[in-house]
Amino acid sequence: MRPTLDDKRPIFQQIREMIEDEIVDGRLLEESQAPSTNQLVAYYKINPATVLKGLNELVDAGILYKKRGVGMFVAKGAKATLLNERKQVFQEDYVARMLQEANRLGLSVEDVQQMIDSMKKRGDAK
Amino acid sequence: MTWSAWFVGILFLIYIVTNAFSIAINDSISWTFIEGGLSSATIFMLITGILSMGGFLTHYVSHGITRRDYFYGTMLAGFSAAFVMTVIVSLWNLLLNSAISWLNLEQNLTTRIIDGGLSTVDGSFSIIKLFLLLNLFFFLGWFISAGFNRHWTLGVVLVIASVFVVIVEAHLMTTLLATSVFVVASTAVVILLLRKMTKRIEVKP
Amino acid sequence: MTIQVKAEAISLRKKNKQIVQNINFTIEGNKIVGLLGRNGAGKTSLLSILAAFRPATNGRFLLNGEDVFENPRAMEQIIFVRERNVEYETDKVSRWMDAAQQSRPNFDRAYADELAKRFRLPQDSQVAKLSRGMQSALHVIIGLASRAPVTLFDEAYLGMDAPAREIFYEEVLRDFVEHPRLIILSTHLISEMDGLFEEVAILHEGELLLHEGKEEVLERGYRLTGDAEAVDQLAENKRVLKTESLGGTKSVMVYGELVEKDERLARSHGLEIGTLSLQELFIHLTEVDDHE
Repeated sequence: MRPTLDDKRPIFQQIREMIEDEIVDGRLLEESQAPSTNQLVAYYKINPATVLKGLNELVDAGILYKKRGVGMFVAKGAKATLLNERKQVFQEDYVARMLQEANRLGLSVEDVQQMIDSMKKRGDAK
Repeated sequence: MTWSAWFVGILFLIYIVTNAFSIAINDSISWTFIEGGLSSATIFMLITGILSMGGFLTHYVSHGITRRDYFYGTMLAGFSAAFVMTVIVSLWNLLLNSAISWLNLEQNLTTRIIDGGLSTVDGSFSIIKLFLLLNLFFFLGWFISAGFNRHWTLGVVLVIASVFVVIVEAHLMTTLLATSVFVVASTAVVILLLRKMTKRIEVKP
Repeated sequence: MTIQVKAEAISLRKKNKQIVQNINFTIEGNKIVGLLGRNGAGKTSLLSILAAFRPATNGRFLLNGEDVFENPRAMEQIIFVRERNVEYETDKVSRWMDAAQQSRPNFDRAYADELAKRFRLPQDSQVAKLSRGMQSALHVIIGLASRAPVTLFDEAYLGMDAPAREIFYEEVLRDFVEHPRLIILSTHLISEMDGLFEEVAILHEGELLLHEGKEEVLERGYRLTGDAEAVDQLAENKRVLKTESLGGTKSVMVYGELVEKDERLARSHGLEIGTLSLQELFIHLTEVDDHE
């Protein structure tokens, strides 16, 4: 779990993203139990309602599901759903912004492609 | 109530010392336990009454108890304290009287015991008077601090009123019946006013 | 039945001075509510009226529909934890715990003992001889262990050092989760405590500025950071609370909800959108404005 919360984004959103990270990174497997509200309350020292708001958004998105009296569990296919979502976000946020900056610097898409290739080579060499 | 034990103990000590002293210097101090006991017991009740206001009220209300229950609880406590003090003072008186006669000290002390007032009249009547007086002083103490709780000027007014009541009792009420009626009536008035004053009283946080 | 606390047009005047004025709000259900206000805003007075420590000049507090003042059913459910003068208290700490245990039906002595250990409060010492921090700890322990359905903490942390306050916040949350109840915490240490609250009420100069869910309050403002020109363009005609700039980068705090159009525009300009903290919003909302 992420050790601290920042104040740049709403806390419930950070709770949501933290659980999503755990699923995407494979630390929280499908059909396994998600951290309970009480655990998250004690860990982050925040109000249970805030935690629940984050968790409920995940339930609504079909990432988690509730087992009555037991807790919340990671849904089947949650990882694939999240990966898909993140790929889209990656394209919108990172790639779009990268191209925007490239445009400002007068770089063409081919130039960027070359840069990516050379970065990849450097990464492979390490 | 730890301080009540101290009070009676110190009172007794003062009595012994004073008496020993007065015997030694040949009867120049006129002071008896019942007399000293009466005035000391009234002061004790007065102080108990004064203390029944601030701390007690805060304690009750802080623990979720109403002013009404505080009022009746304290009133009962006042009656009980007056009763217990009456028993204690009377028993001391009895004990001392028998001790004195047994030790054959009448020669030295009879005058003082007799002059002490309460032992001269019929014992049971003076005990009733003692009980009524102790009650009066308790409620006067409570009354005064309730006055100060509202505003210091009211406190001063109530002190003057209380002194007036006590003076009238001591000097104008000559018969036991008159005294009793006067004391009971003034106590009743004070109790009624106290309930009025504490009904919606503010508890300072 | 869900618990309900309702303030009905509460006003309080003291010596011709208006302390609180026409306060109306309803809190429903077990939750932790933050009562925020600067010094002298009327927090203690308002809580005193709710705890039936004093009658209001006008209006009343209802607990589950019943006026709380001089109402034994309501008063036994409310505990008011505040700093008190204990100068003349000769009693021992344990005696105070006994008294609370006698009058509070839900009092959990084992929990009180556990808390005393956590706060390092010596139970055999005299209340008057405790340090200021320990006095606060004692009040807080009694407040928590009493488990009253309505628990009011009026700046109860005063006198506590940072580690003790940390314990206090942890225990409020822990015990709230295990024994849900209505807890109202008044404070001006907002940045330290904002995580605890589900709802927030802000008092300013005796009036209730707002009472909302904390998340909704936080949506009342946002921060834009990035290229100065783009920031200026977006912040135009908006209520800007604060501006900071460094070189070509600018950061503004905007009061008002972030509408979708602006959000898209901000993103297309590569601006970073951030939330404001409760403290920042509070400071702005309770600023004494000389211009208006």
